[in-house]
Amino acid sequence: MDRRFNRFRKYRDWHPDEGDLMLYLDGEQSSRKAARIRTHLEACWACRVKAEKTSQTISSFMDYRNRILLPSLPSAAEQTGRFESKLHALAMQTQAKRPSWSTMLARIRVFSGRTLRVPLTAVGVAAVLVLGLAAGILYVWSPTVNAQQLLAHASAMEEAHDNNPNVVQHRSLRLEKRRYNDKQVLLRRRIDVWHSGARGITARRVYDDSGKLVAGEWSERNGSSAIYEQGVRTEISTRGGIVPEVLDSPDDLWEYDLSAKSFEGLAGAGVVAQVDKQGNDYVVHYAPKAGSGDNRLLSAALTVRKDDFRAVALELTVQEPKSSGVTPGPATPVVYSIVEAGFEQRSALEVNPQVFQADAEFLASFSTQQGDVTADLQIETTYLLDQVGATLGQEVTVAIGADHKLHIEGVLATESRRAQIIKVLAPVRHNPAEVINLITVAEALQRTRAEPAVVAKTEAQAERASIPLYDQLSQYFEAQTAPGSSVDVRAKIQRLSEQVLEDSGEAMRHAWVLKRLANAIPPTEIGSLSETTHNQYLCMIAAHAQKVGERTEKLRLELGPILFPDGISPGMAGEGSGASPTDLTVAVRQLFEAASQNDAAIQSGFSVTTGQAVEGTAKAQEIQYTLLQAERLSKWLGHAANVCDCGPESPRK
Amino acid sequence: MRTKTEASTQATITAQSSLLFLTQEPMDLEQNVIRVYETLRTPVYQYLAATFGDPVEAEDLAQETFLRLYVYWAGGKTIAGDRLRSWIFRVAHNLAIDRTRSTKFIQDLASEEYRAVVLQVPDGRRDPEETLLDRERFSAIRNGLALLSAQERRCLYLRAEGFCYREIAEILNITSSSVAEFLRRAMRKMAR
Repeated sequence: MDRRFNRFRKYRDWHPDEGDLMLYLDGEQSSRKAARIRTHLEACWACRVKAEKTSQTISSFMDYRNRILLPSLPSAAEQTGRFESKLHALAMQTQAKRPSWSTMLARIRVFSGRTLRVPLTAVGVAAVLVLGLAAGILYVWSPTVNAQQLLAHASAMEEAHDNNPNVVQHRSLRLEKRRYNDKQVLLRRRIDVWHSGARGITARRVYDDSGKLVAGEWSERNGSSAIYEQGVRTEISTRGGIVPEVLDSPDDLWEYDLSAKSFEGLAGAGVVAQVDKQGNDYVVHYAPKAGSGDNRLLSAALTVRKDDFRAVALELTVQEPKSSGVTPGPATPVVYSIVEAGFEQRSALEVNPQVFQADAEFLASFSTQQGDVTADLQIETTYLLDQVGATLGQEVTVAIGADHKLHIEGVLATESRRAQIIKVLAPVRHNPAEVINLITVAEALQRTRAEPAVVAKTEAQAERASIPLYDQLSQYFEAQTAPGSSVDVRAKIQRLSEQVLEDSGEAMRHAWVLKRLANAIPPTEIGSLSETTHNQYLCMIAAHAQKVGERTEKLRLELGPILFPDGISPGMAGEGSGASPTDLTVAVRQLFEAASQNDAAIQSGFSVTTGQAVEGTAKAQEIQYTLLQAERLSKWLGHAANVCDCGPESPRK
Repeated sequence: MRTKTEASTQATITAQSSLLFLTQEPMDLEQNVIRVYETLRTPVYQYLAATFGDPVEAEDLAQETFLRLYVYWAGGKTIAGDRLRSWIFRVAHNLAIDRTRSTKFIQDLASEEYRAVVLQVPDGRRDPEETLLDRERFSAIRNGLALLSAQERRCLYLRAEGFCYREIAEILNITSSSVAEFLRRAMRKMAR
């Protein structure tokens, strides 16, 4: 008790300062001093209050920090994605650098210390012994590099790189075509290649000397790709290595990867290979075997880097085909070389996905885009044009071009007509498989201003002209005219001729539409049309066939009393009720032929000509025959196709 | 003074970092850095933003800090698991100092902002008297904070992060006794 009282007195008279109290509260005091303070606080109310006050201040600060300050800070944005991409880019850079000696040493030190638990020096001695042994073996046995193995290894490395989902590879290549003899450069291109491992896609752009994009290829993971070159878009479903076929058009070499895998394709061409070591590179030389048959390829060489087995240069010496020889005369060898000018690997996250998209401006120069023409699209487009009568005549044509696109082209009378057609095409206008090129007459004239204008027939020529059936018509009209009346027979003949020619022309225009419809879709594909477009197809056939029929009947009624006043000739009676065609497209073709003959006969009979008059009876019989045939076919077609739900709509015009 | 959560976080990081060097391929190294980043980025950001004042800069510096960690590890160097947290803060602090050496960067909330924030504080208490008391307390602390020097504030926030004096001294590259002195002054200013 006395001891305790003495201690109490001793510590009561000593007071810890603020700093001591702070250290005590934070557990930072030495245990001895902490014990002394603890005892003092038991004894001294004043110091205990001080300590409590400090604790309160700490408590208030922590409250302020947690409830006011930290919530008031803009929250650390959710930027893990950005950080990860930065980190990955850094990792790529770090890995790209070879480990320095200090790093190697550090690793060995950690390995020796933690795993082997032996001193670093022991590891060093062991390493020297192993290296010495390896050098001895290499001295005695120097292996030759096998081309096949080298390429196989390089291909495996390429595949691993190409499939790395975190990396985007960007290569810049230089392509040159040189004449073998005098090394004159014939072609120079820069090829820019982007490849995404994650998406498995590749974008390849070819630039000419002036930096203009001249060709491109955008390929998909499944190996299919779209190639744009020289105004033509080609789609290929698979892309292999450099196969011997590439030698047929070596200018297309840019489409192939500068890679060991591509180069392996040549192995199938009956060639022998040899590997040279040149500095930091291996060079694989290929030469065709004597008498291997294919002598277009004279030699080939692929340069592969030793350190990462990346193909960095390719050289092909090719016998230029005679037809496309660089110089006139005998064919000369040319050398194609592709050399890597730049290579970088970037984090997939930091590459703008835009680099993999086809350049819109470039594609526009092809006036075509990705997409495929389907029969449905073709019918739908024709149907839409048909709604405004634009399929009649040659006003607007719908045809599949060499680029496998649906070309909608036409020269239109006015701007408003063009606007009307563009408007009606709205549902299909943005389909990438369609190319719409509609210009007005004014624009067309502007384009052809330099061309000489068509010379119009002069009045004098017209005056001398006549129509072949003039005599026959004149007899008819004169017979119709009451004696003594002053009817201008010539004017009547002219009016009739104009009417007949117009009707025949109109029937012909509808027949043309029918023919184009029939040609647009092969009979085998009609079954594959969707219900809607099949319905549209039949509606159009029925409507145009009906128009042909109407005009033909009108012609027959107009011309019948004049040309065949005795009614239908006995030999032609069957034409109106002959055996029906079995196929819609066959019927369309027959109708077109009939309408064509009909029109040709009418043209030759009624057109103004300066030639001799034809023998009237023969002409009349010809016209009679074709009119009947056309009428019969159009009726059949109108009936056969009109099983659809066409509604009241029919082609206007 | 450390909370249970902090202690478990510390233990997790310790466990991760002690295994880091010898167990991973480069990709694992990246993943490990991302794990540490996800665990520590908020306190590092908060420390930098609270003591250096610019939240945007703070976020940027925080990211840079963890990139340094990758470089450090990729270079074959190791950090003892129990020191990883203070290593991160030290790098962050040094980066901040480097970047803003010539600037007077300590800022506090402007009065208007502060008032707006204080009025919005969810107190969870129904007693208006207690809410009022809170506001007074906070007001006093805020006034006190405004008087702190840069080092005092750094020490205070690092202490609030749970670092001991020795760790704070390492992070700020000063002595432990200086840390004690800065904290004492900070307490005195806030207690006024």
